[in-house]
Amino acid sequence: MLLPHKVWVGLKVMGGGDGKTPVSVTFDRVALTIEAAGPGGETAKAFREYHPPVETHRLYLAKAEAAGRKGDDRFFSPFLLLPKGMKPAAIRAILYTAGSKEITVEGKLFPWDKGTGGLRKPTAMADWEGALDVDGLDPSTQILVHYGVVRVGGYFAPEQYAEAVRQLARVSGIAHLPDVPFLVTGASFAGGYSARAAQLYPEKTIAAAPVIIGAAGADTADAEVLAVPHLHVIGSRDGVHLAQVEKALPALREKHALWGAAPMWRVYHRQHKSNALIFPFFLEAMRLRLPAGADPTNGPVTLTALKEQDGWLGLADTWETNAPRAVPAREYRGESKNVAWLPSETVARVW
Amino acid sequence: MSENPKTVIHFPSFEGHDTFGHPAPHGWHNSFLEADRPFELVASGAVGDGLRVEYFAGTRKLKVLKGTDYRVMLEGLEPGLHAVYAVTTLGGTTEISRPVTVLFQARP
Repeated sequence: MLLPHKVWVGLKVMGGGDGKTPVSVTFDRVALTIEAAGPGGETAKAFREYHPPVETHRLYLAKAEAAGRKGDDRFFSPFLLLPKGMKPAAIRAILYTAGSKEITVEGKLFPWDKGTGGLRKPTAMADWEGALDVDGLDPSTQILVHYGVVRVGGYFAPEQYAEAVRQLARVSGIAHLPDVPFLVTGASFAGGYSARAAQLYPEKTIAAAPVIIGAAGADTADAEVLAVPHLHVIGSRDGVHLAQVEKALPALREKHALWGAAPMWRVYHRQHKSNALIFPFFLEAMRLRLPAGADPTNGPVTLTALKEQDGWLGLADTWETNAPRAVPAREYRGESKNVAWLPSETVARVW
Repeated sequence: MSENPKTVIHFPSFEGHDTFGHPAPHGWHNSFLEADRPFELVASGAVGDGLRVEYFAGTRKLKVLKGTDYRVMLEGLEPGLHAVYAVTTLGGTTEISRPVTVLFQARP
């Protein structure tokens, strides 16, 4: 069998004691054998991790200008990253990583040069605008490729997103880019950016996943924003963030918000494994909200509105147990409003 | 709270950094398998008479095991991202493993 590089082995004693008084137990004759030959024959034949190299991507960089600002710090540089051979009409959605410029190549951060204001450019580029090929992207990029999702990021506030994609459309030649709806996520302050992006562009936001930033945006009363699926992921040991989420859940239910949350237990201010839930959440949101035959080359895509009763409710009163429960929203008869709205059964299972 | 050992699905899965904002370590591979090809899963957890182990991908039940064996060969899944997890039931107590998200890719 294929195991992670680090394995924990649990030992348990059954019986003994009165069930109340702690019993001292010593394991003194424990031996573990590692099969030097590796996986067994059956496994070796049947089980192969398969991760072909990520195809060459094209990174487009634009020099954009923030409206209403003066001086050199008014400039910023959004980027667009997509497979080099991808046909523009095949773009189904943008993954907008608000406030982020991180790209991993061969396991290392892609090097950027910093300019004034929000200007950043790949070190390999001579100019502050243009394009270059990128090889060796992280294998997880294949998830985006498979589902027709391209990435937009950069060091700029969500207020500049509309201008960012306009300039990227100009540089890339993908004229309909501003009409492509987006998924948005970010961590910490960038998590706040992702909630802000949903507030600014609810008609374009398929779903938002603010990470380790409490219940960012939960004070909104805007019905259009509350109808955009949100998933807040927080670390349980990360200061006030979990408490903020626990306080926000009942209020969000009162507002019939299509918002949910999930803690990462014993995690501090880290993204940790948040993508294990965020990606299924995003993909389900795409499945539910992108109309069949949606084609942004014909103009802005009108996202399908979701109904509260069609979703699922994760019962936060159970989320610290080893068997968290979620139920269809239309069947929920509980009184507790400590529930997280989730868009589908699939997301509920992963939650 | 259950007294059973925690249900864990064993599959390569990055456990996260202990610092903020770092990329995945060099050489780390996320969970990727070839689509439409049998694969093996192993979990661990409760042991005892009447143990029931169920393997899922999203809402789809892949296999049910009754007994103490956690190892199973499964049919390949279609291309796409699948959240795979195990549910164990023993003595009326149910436990759910953390899911691992696995991208199944078609060979060109």
